[in-house]
Amino acid sequence: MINQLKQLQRIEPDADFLARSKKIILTASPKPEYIFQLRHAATHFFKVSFALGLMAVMLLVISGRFAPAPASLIASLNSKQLVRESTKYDFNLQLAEAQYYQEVDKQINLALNEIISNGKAGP
Amino acid sequence: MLAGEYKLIEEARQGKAEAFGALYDHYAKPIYRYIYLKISDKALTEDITHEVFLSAWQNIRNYKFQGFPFSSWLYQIARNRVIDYYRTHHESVDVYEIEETTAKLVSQPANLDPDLDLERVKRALHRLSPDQKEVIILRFINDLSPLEIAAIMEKSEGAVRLIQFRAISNLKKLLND
Repeated sequence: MINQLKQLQRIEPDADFLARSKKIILTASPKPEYIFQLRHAATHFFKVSFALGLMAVMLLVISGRFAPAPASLIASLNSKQLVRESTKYDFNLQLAEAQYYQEVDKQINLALNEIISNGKAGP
Repeated sequence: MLAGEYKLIEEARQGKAEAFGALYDHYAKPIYRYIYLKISDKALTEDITHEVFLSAWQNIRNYKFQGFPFSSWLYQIARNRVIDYYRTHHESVDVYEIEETTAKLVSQPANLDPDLDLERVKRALHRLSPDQKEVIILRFINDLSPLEIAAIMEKSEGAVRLIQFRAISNLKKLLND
């Protein structure tokens, strides 16, 4: 089988093509070295910048300054939950109001009873 | 590897066209064969081969010796060009078309093993996965070492040997079917 594969070594380009291609290639000139130096410098700069940026983010995460948004802030973005919460607060407010009036009623009753009892005890 | 290759590369880096011409003469045929076996179109193979050497000549000052022959660098350029070609064209190659075109270039050798037919080997080769096909072409048709193939394919030598083992097993299976 290997010998069969080696038979494919007979595949060769046309001599005309080789001569023509070589002639065209050699009329061009190699790129100057400074282009590659500039390219290397740019690549190096981006690599270093990326590494430093990544390190800064990691430090922020480790130090805890770059924490995800608090749960309350995230919850405030949920409109359904907001509606639910507003209803709950209104309900709580009404309860507090009823409690207040109940207290006031008690105080008024106590005051009236005191006045009445004072009137009876008087001259 | 070409005799005096380092000297030729250094001279080519200094802009000496004759030095690069010598490298071209030595490597144009195997690079052409490698591209042809992957693309199976003569005109396209010529275009890509030309582009590979033009790119190598224009970027010769960027070449750095990393312990591998100059051919590894050329094969890497060729490999990337072939990948670019398939990425832009999204075309699949018809196996039978490959056989037909390859048959025009490869004449039937006189001392063929009667159990194995060259056409069947070619057909089986094109049915392998791209990596397996690449390893077979580079290892057994272009006679590169596993280390050189590893450098070209950007894989470890062990990975190349594993791909080679699987490629041979698959090729045998395909030939027995």
